[in-house]
Amino acid sequence: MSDLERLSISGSTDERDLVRAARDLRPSSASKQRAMLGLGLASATALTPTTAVAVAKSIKATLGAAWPLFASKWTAAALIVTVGASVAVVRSQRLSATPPQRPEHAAAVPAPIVQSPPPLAHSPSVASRRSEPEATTNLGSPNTQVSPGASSPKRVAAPSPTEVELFDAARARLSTGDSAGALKVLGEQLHTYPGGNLALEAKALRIEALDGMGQRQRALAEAQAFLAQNPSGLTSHRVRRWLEKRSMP
Amino acid sequence: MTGEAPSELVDASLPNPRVVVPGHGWFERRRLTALVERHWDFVGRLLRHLGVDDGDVEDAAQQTFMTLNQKLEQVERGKERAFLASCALNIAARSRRQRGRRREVGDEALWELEARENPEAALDQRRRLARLEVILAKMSEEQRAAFILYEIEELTLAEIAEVLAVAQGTVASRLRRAREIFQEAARS
Repeated sequence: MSDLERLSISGSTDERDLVRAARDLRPSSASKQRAMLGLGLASATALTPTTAVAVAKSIKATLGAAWPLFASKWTAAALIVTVGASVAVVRSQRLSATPPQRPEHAAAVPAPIVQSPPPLAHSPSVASRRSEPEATTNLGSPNTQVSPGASSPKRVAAPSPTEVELFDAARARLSTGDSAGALKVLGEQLHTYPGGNLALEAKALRIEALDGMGQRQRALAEAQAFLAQNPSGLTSHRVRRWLEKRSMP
Repeated sequence: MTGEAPSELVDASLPNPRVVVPGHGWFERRRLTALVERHWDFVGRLLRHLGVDDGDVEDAAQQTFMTLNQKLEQVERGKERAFLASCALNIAARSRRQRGRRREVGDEALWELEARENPEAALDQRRRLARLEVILAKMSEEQRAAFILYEIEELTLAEIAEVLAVAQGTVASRLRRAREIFQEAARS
């Protein structure tokens, strides 16, 4: 059976415009990134075709005259994949291990310590989730410690929990009814990663934790403030629904 | 973790190692990444035109890809779009049954309108989308699905027949009726 001619070709101008408007609608690219994170895929660190081309060009420029030696397509492909994977690994390690640089005024504040949080160890997939804002340089971790016995102070960077780890820990605590614990970990997350990718989610979760602690009025006030600051978006949609439900008599 | 209560305010599918199907290796993850890149817009648009509320489209699209993730090895290469469309139809049907208030099209956090840089053109697009929504609501679910898949997403009749698990003749018949409704409403 042959296909009918589509309205985008055979329809009137008005019909074509309607179909075109429908076809031009696209979800935001941020939603795609969130989906990648949700599926545990490393969208930013994986070797996309564009990245592969950029890496290949970079390699070619570096090798210069020696490039023809590598120009067999299989050699080049293997080189690209290897270098690309190394770049992804190094980058993801840096992303997962380095909290963003704090503002100047916060540098003197001792790093809050999360006491006995649930799984904060680096999970294998954490590195691939790219949840932390990228820090270009590491100018001193807030958790840097000085060894007291050493003649020359040796700075040892204690592993800082990543934003995802803190968020997952808070979520895990809330799910087991430990609202106070969740609130504490969320405080640590928002303090360490104030502009992180999961900051909005953390603020929303905080509302739920407050409600769980019986502080309904404070939770409602925070929900309203959240919506005033973030009138649109998926998280706001959930907060709005939550607020509507709680406001019902 | 057992006995975990889902949060109302946080997307349950947010970074969570548990959603990754055990056994998925590098190639499966690359395949899934490529499929999200290639079909995310298609799935989001399809769900929205099928009547899923704007605020629920992202969740529904994620659910669609979660299903693909779980059944990735069973989905034949080249048939992924049909599989996604089929999942999206089921999820949209469930979502419509639980539907709440629809928000206005054009929430910038959710959608990227083609003509955003031109406010007048963006407004025109919103108006057309609102009009289209009214027209699509006049169709039955089956006619609507056939119309969207054929006219907007440009699947072939054979592909749609596979997605809907019906004969091509049935698709053609639903499409003809849907087009009559569309043309009649567009003229008025």
